Amino acid sequence: MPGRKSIGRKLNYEWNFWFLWEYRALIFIGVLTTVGFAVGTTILGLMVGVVIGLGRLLGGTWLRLPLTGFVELFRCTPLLVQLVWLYYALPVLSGLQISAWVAATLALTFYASSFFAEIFRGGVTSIDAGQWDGARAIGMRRLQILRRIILPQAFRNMLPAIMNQSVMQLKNTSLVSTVAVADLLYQGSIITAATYRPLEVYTLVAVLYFLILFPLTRLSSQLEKWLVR
Amino acid sequence: MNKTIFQDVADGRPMIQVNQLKKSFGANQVLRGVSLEVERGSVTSLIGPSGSGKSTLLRCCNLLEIPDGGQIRFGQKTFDFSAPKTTLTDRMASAYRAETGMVFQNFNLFPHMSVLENVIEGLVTVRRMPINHARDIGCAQLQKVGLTDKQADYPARLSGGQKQRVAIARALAMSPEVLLLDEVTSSLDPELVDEVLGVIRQLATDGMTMILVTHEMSFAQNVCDKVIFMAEGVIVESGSPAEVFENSNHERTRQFLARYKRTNHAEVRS
Repeated sequence: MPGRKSIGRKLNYEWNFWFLWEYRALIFIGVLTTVGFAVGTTILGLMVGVVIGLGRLLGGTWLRLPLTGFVELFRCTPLLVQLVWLYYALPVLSGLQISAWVAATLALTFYASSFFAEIFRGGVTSIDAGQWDGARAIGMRRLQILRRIILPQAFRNMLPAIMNQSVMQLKNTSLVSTVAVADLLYQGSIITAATYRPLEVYTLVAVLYFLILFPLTRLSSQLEKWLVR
Repeated sequence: MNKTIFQDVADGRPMIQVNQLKKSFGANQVLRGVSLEVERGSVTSLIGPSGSGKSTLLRCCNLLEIPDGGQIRFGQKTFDFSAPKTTLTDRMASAYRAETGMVFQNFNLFPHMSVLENVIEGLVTVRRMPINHARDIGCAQLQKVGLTDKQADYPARLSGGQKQRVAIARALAMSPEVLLLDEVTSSLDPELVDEVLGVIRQLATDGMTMILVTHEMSFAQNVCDKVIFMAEGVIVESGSPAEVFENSNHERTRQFLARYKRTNHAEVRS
C-alpha cells in the first residue's frame, strides 16, 4: 500500500454507539446479573466471613487451624483459578455436577469471606484490651462483650475496609463471564461477537461499571466522614 | 440478688483469704507464692516498686488473670488453682467478677455509651434488670460520686477525674462485696487526684471493703487499715500503716519509702 507507515498512523475509526440500543435487553440482563451476584455474594461473604472471624477469635486450636487454612487458601490463590477449579475440577473429583451459577456463587462467596474474615478479626483486635478488662470486671461474658462493647466500636473501624472490599467484589464478578454466566462482561462479549464492534461495546461496559460503582464509593466516603465525627 | 458467694462465714474467718498464689507470664514469674487476708470492711493498700506484682495480684483477685497455683477464698467460695486440672469456665469466672468490683488505671469506660449507660451496663446485660430499675440505681451511684449532671454526656467529654469517678460508679452499681482499685489516680493530672481520692475516702467511711494498689503514700498511710509492701513477686512485709511507714524492720521497705519521700520533697521544691 502506498504511503503506509506502521508507526503513528491515525486510525480512521468511526465511532457509532447507536446500534447498542438494539441490545438493550441483553445489556440490562447483564447489569442485573452483575449487581445481583455482587450484592448476593457480598452478603453471603460477610456472613461466612463473620462466622470464620468469630471462630478464629474465640475457638480452640482445633477450630482456628482449619479456618486459617481456609482463609489463606482463598486469599492466596487468584479468584479466576478458584472459579475455574470449582467449575471444572470439583465435579471430576466429587462426581457432583454443579452449574456455572453455583460455581460462580461459591467462588465469589468464599473469596469475599476470606477477606471479610480478616477485616472482622482485625477490627476486633484493634480495640484496646482495656475494653475487655472493663467489661469482664462487671461480669460480662465473652459473647456479651463482643456484642455490646467490642463490635459497636470495631464496626466503625471496619466499615471503610468493608466498603472497599465490596467495591472490589462487584468488579470481581466480571470473572464469572469465563464460565458463561450472563453478567455484564459476558453480554458484552456476546454483542461483540455479533457486531464486530468491540470498541463501542467495551466502552459501554466500562461506563456501566463506573456508573454503578462511583455512587457507591461516594457514599462510602460520606459514611466515613460521618463516622469520624 | 444472688450473693451466695459472699454469705458471711460464721466461723469468723476473714472475708478474703489468698494462699500461696503463683502466676507466671511465660518465663517471667510475677507472683511467687503470695498469701494475704482481708477483713470485711477493711481497706488494704498494696505498695511496692513497679514490676513487684501488685497489679497482677489485684487482677488475680478478680480472676482477670487466672493464677497458676495457690488458692483464693472469697466468703464461702474457694478457687483452688493448684489442682492438676483446674477447670474454671467463663461462666463461673464471670459470675464471680460480677460480685467483685474493679477500677482501672485507664478507666476503661465504654466510649460509645453515655455516662449513665456505662454505669448500668452490668445491671442490664449481666443482671438482666429492667431498664427503669437500673436507671434508678445508676443515678443514685452517679450522685454518690458527684456526677449527676453528667449522666447524658459521653466519656470523651469528661476530665480524667470525672472519668475515674464514673468508673467507680460503674463498679459500685453492681453492689460488689469488695472493690479492687488498680492505681486509679496514676494517669490523672495532679489537680484531679483529690476528687477521686475523696470518693474513695468516703467509701472507706461507709465501710466498703477495698484493696488498692497505689503510689499515693500519704493516702495509704491515712486511710488504710493495712499496708502490704511487695517486691519481686513476694510480700516483704505487711502491717498497720504505722508499722510499715514508721517502724519498718525491713531494709527494702525503708529504701522504697525513702525514695518516695525524696521525690516528694523534690517536687515540692521545684
